Amino acid sequence: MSIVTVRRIAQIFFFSLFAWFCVVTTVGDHWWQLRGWPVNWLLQLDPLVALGTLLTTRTVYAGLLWALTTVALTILLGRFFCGWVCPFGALHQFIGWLGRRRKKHAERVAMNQYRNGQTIKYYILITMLAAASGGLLAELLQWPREKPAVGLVVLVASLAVTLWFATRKVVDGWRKTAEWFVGLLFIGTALGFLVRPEALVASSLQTGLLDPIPLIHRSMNLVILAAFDGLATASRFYIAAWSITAVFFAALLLNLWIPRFYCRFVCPLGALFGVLAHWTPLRIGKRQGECSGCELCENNCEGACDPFGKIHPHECLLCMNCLRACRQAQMTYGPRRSAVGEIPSPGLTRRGFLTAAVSGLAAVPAVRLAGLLNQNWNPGVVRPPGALAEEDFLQRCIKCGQCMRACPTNVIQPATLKAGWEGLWTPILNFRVGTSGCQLNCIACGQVCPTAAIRSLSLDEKLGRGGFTERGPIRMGTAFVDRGRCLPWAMDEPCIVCQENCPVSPKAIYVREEFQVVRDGARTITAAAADSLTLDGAALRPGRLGTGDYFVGLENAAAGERRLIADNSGQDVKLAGPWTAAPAAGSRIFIEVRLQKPYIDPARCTGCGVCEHECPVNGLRAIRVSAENESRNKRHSLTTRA
Amino acid sequence: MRAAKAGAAIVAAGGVGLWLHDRKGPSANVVGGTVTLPDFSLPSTGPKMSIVTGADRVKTVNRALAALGGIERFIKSGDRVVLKVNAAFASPPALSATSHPDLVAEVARLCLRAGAASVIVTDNPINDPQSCFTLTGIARAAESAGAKITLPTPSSFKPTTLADAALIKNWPLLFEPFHGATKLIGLAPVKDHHRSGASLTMKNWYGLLGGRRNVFHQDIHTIIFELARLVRPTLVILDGTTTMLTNGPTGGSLDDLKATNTMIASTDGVAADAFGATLLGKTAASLPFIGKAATAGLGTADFESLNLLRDHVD
Amino acid sequence: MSQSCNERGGTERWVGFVILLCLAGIAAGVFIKQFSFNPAVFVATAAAPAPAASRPAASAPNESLPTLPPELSAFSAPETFTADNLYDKIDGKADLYLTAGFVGLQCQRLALKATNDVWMEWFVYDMGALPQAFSVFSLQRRAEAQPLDLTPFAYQTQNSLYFVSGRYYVEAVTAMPTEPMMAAMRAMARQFVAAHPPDAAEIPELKLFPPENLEAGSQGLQVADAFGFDRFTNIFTAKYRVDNAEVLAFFEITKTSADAATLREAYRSFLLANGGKEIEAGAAASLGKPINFMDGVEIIFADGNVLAGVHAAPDAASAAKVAQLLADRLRKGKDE
Repeated sequence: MSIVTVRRIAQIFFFSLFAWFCVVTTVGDHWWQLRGWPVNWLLQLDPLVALGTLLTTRTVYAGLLWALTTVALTILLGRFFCGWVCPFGALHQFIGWLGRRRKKHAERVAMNQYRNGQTIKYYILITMLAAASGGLLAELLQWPREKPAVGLVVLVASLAVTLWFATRKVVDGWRKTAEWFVGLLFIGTALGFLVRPEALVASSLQTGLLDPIPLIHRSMNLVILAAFDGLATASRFYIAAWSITAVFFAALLLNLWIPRFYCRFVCPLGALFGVLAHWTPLRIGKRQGECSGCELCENNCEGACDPFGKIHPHECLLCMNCLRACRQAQMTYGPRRSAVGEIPSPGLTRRGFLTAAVSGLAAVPAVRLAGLLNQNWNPGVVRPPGALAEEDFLQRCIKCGQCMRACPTNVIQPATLKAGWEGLWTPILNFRVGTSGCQLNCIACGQVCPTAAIRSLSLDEKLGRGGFTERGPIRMGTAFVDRGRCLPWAMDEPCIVCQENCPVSPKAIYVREEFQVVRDGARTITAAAADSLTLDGAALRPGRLGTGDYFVGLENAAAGERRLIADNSGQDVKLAGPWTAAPAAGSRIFIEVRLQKPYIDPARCTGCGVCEHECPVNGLRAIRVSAENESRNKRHSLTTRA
Repeated sequence: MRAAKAGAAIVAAGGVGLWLHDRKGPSANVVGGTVTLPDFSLPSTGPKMSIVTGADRVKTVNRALAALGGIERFIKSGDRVVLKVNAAFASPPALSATSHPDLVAEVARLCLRAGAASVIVTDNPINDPQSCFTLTGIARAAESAGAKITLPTPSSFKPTTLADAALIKNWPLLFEPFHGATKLIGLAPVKDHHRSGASLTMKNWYGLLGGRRNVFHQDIHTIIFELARLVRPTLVILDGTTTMLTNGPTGGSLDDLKATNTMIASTDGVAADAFGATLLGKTAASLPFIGKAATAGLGTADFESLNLLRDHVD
Repeated sequence: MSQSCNERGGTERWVGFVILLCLAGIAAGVFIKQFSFNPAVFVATAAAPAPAASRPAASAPNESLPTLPPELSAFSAPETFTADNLYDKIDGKADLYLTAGFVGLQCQRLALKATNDVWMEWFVYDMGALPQAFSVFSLQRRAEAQPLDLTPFAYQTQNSLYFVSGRYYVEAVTAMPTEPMMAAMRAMARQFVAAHPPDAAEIPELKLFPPENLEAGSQGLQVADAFGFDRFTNIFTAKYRVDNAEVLAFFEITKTSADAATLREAYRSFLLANGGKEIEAGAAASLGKPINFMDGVEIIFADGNVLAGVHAAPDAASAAKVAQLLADRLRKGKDE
């Protein structure tokens, strides 16, 4: 059994595992539902997720420790993950293979040649990691203020050394690096004294945009499976899925031009593996021997690492195709470097490095000038229950879409730009989509979030009972009645659907009863019997008043002197019960409707959105949830009560 | 050798990963939430209050603390101590409107000698903080003893809420000096106060409030009472060496002062205040905030019942 | 160092084999892991259906149903109801409980072990507090009540027991009132009272009713909308037999004298606005003019912070008599 066959089995295995995990990420105990399937395992194996969250939160959360396995194996073996495990890579490889099946040898070699653009993914990695490092940098910059004496010494010393270096005109080598280091040390220390660093730099986790594991989870969860769901049971909808689809399919289609396009040019995870593989003891290479120069090894080289010439080991994906292709058995995977030499470094320039790093660092505060984390916060951003406060949330969310897939009512949606650029594809609740609001007794989203951007709540914590009674329930926002649209408020139509469906107990929606004279409701009695009246005026719609909501009230009557209408025909109104004293013909009566007008109790409303979902005013709902009073940010409180 | 570097890299990565591993995940760290001042009091076994007469502050405070079991009873090695002084006014020490710098220095020194890792001297003055700490001599005294001064800045305050309180609801509290603090000692002079009748150890905590706190003067006894509920110090030291008998809290004339030569150290602020009232020629009963605090169980106004230790040192 | 084709193939095969073994191991690990359910699954499958559903939660652990006495066994699963779905169990009667502060109902059918088809249904209404339990107890008191020596507020009829224990109002009802069944019901009741010792067994306010002419067991409490007047929220009532007429006396303890006076005026206005007519004061003149309302005589007076009076008495004379008894008693109570 050749190693290539094993590799194919491995790719099929991991792709199937990935697909299976996505399929089962729905709450339930059937074998094809969540049960205990470790649906986040591939995300946890992804060291870019671990590294990104490590930089933003200075912790490695729970299962993300699995990334150590991948890191250790990569350091030992090379980019095995790209060639053997990554489901996105497998997909690219498959489509690339489809694309080049009819192509001739020369064309294939041309497709697989090393291109300088393969350095771009390293810059992408650096930019993303820099964007995630802002907070760490701010903490580092604070030390001059905390230890001013030491800081002052370092400031003066680093200035002196920098100037000394400058006069010496050192061009390259370790001295140059040292010069840069000391120069930066000076600038950093000076900054630390002069400004409050936390006002200058901040962290944002954006690796999820291009990290292939979250990307393919997102694409599978929100596009592929959603499409299939529509065929099977109730459709699941995802707002703006088109953008996710576009990225996904664009990446796949580019393989028809250059195989594994994404892996070679874009993938930051691949770049990270490339860096980690710098010191691998084992690598692909040529033996000492008679190479015939046929270049068959380049025919199917997935990584475009140029195994024929000087191999780029950081680009090699260990696809092993060159091993199998070579008829002279010249290719090997072992402890010796390639006999014709290696190009050990990805070819990053210092200028490129700095540009990428500074861009990443600077982008975050620049984007945050929009004030979305402060005064300009968007109340339409209703996050799932258990979500951290927005700044912390954006430091953990990898936009994998697991929560969206797991949500049983399909209300968790990928945001477009509602939460700003940083919040693209992060989870936001939309109660018009989906089958209900956020279910009271459901904790699925937090339990599947791999990075704890949504904390894994217990049901007690979510509902504010047991040990959490004092803290109260987790609130996502508050419902607001739009009195201009609500049927009883604006249209004289009885309706208490919102109040009926409010799931908390006692209900957060209460009603106040009001009697309102209907349009054209002032009539004169032409004939009266004990329990029916004949009225003048325009004909009533038969049966219209018999719903149990309509009453006849007497003019000049004491409060309470009204009778329920049991039925009506064009001119006659039949009452449910007799008058104590029947009104005389010629007297005026009023046809009244009993309206129960909904009010919200903000102390009880959790923002679950069931009311918004059920509201019969179907377009712009007459009761809508927005993020005021959300538990995760006390600055958004509605009341002054703590 | 590549293998060695690879091995080292794996070990390094593993080390960092395991060191920073967080199984529990983030807490419900609610943004904009209120803070709670920790309870710094120690379980009270042993003498609660000591009164030492004498004209020399440094000597009397040493004796007063010794009578309670020594500063070591309260301050242990590694403690981070906050010394809440009265630096309310930019007033020279001779006018006795603020904590005396000699006392501040001595207490700071004692704490550091007992092994405290740090001593922070702080207050949110009424006048400009810089000039207050300078003119009162407290800044120099503290630094000479090895303590640090924390001057309040706008970001030093965080909102706090006292449960079932009428006044301290979501009110800015001077919280920055308390980061990592393990012990709190209050240092207050004995002063008459125009609004509340007396300014003693409980009124001293007013200096931890931020915002526009003068609004509380309309309900001065309630705010002092709520402060006594909010702040639970390890120890209070009431300096009655020179008492401001009239025209407090600012005083101004040396005629307002009297050398009552008494130093009180106590774990019960209510009792200390009840005794301090006598130095002003008043009774605890005439000071409503003492009654409120005593009724709420924060201490006892009947200081005699505490088996005081009295002493004198020349 | 060139290995022969075979050697290299051998290494390759072994490595491939090891890798496949690892994959198998991963598959096995994943399979084993899926047996330990994610907490979200536990919560979703254990949770009671949404409150809008009418099915009661089955087999929830409940503390009101004590272990059964030896002669009884479960006949059906225990059921639990909250304010939202109480209607599903007792239909229109739910209003009575809901306005009185209903918290929860737990009920179960229990059968005699000996003759399994003789069963009773046991209802435990958690009303939140003793007065509220007493209220629903008193409002449903049957005319043919027989004394039951269990708690201060308890009675039985030929096929059922009703009692109040602390904040619980308990009913035990059987369709087959055989002697063993009734005995078993009493045993269950005793066990319940023992398991839920009430902390305040008495309702001290009831002592304010004068004992003479009081019909035993007729005391009651209405916690909402008593006599159709929505401001009467805590009306104690008791029936008196005077001159062959049955008269209902009542009182409510308000916070202050001013409150009582205001309430009195409000009720009088309510009666007058709805067709009541003042009539001449007879015997109990000091208590104000009685009002004839819907063919019943109402006398309302205030004594300090207690609003008291007589409701729907058949005639003015008996109304006055009972009102006077009550007034005297209240005054005596204050002097003591």
